[in-house]
Amino acid sequence: METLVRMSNLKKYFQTSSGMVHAVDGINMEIKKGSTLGVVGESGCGKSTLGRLLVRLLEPTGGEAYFNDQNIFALNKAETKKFRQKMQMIFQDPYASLNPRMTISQTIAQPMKINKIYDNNKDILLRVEELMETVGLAPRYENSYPHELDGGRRQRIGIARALSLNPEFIVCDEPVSALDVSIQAQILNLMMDLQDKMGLTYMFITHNLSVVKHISDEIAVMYLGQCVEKCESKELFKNPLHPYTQALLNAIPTPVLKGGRDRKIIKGEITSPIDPKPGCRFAPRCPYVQEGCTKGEVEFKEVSKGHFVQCILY
Amino acid sequence: MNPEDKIIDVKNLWVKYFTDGQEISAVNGISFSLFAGKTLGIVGETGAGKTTTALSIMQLLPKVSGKITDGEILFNNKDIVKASEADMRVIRGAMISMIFQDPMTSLNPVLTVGDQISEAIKLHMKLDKAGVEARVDEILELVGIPALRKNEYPHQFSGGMKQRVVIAIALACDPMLLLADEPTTALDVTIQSQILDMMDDLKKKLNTAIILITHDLGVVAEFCDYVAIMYAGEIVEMGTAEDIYESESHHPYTIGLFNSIPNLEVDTDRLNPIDGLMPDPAELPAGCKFHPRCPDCMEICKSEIPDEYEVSTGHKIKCHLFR
Repeated sequence: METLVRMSNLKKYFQTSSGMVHAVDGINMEIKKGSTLGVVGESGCGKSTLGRLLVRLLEPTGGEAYFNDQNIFALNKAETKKFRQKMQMIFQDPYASLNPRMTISQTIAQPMKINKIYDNNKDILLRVEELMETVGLAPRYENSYPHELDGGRRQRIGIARALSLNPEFIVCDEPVSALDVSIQAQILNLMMDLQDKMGLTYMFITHNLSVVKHISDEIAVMYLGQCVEKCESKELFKNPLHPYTQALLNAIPTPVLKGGRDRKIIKGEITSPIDPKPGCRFAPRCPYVQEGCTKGEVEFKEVSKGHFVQCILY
Repeated sequence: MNPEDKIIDVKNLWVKYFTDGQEISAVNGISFSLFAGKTLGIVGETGAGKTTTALSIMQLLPKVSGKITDGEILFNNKDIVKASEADMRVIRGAMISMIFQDPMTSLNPVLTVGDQISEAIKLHMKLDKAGVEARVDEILELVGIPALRKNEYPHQFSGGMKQRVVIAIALACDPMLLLADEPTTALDVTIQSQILDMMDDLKKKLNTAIILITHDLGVVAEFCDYVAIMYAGEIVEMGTAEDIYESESHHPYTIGLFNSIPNLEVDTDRLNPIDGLMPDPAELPAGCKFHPRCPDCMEICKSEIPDEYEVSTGHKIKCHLFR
């Protein structure tokens, strides 16, 4: 499979009064066409910033991102607009990401109007109807406002809007975390069906490991702005290598009785992303920490085919 | 265990909200009870009536719109539905306390955490100033926060630490019953794991009865002795954790809930979610409230409300399939 998106040493720092926040710090990854890359990590690990960089909602501090071998940060304003038609985003909160004063059909039609895809309103309306059917929204909601709908239907609107320009790549930033489990499952099924039908490529950002296992082909685990492990979805759950990945997998409560809690849990909390110390960022919480961990930068290396890990144990 | 030893015994509780001329049936005749040192998990989706149940026990329903229309809540064999506000003030915070869902908004930003913890202690425990301070230090250490940090403000704590403070407030007066409303939902998994471990230790140490409200079946599996599954204001299935997780008989909604969660241990290509949506509590369907979404719906389900059937001792299912 060919590579659709490639990130090369991508960095985004934010200046704050107390220092430089290293939100995304040197990410090297590829996403293959038609596949799903799951990005997991806890709050503050930089996963949303990474997603926003890829659709160029943020300018990077350093590094490049390529889409179909085109460096997206080298484009000018007009080119970016054109290019964004191929790259869309589904946002986390279906309550905050829809304009409360626009009807459903206006919301879905807006990207087509902005990009002047159709000459007349009739074609736009036909396309809106088609999109609503694709995502499973009844036509009677066409003139409803977002507040009249529940979270699951609102998220379907967000998906329809993202699909309206026939994109190739969609960044999904926690698209199901605000939804109840039964609705969450409906949306996940919809997204997987759409991928099969339209050959979409997803970058799926989430903190929920069971969701990411279900939808992803490959998974990248992030910790404090860096990717600490990346491999095929099945491999990650069968053979997690990085101590952080192991701790993360160990912490998920599974709906199976095991006779009380018996877990090795990692102590402490995520350290500050402001001016991080050199070396492995997980070292302060790591149960296997050694002298070499904090000496210098740890290499992100391939330990078996397609399985990358950033840890001196390997 | 004697039935008199029950910490809490809820009998046929009905709660309604009255707004804009609408009558919303939030809790429709639920019954459950709990002994000291045991944990009950109440599981359900948004709008199932979980939080309303907890607020009814605390007698904290919105004064104007919320009302308990029928039923009894026996706390230590005394009906607190009929208790006066003065009596409730003695009970609330001291004997029954609650952990609220969102640690970011349930703390007062302009008071130090020490002040917030000492508030309940001053009200309920007859201690002198030094005694209050000593108790604050003790309870902070108990939840794993150095006592030195009591003079800090909530914004100086991380999310997990704030939730520990909220738990410390709830535990300050050694309550007999603790209501935990989604205590870990706002937290990351590694922090969630730490908080659950801590609550588990405290449960053993203090012998507190806990009602854990959550939508996460994984958390319940690790933490609870008994489980109640709620749907549209009713308990549709109740039993021990083994009954819910390992027995063969289940309410179709329980099966739907389990099928909606992507399983980490089994590979599946597609999830089998429950079709449709939660009914509007202002217009609940006739008969079984789950029938419009139920894959096993029969004619009788559309007209008759099912009884509760006991499929094995203590395992109750409210469904016509078990007639």
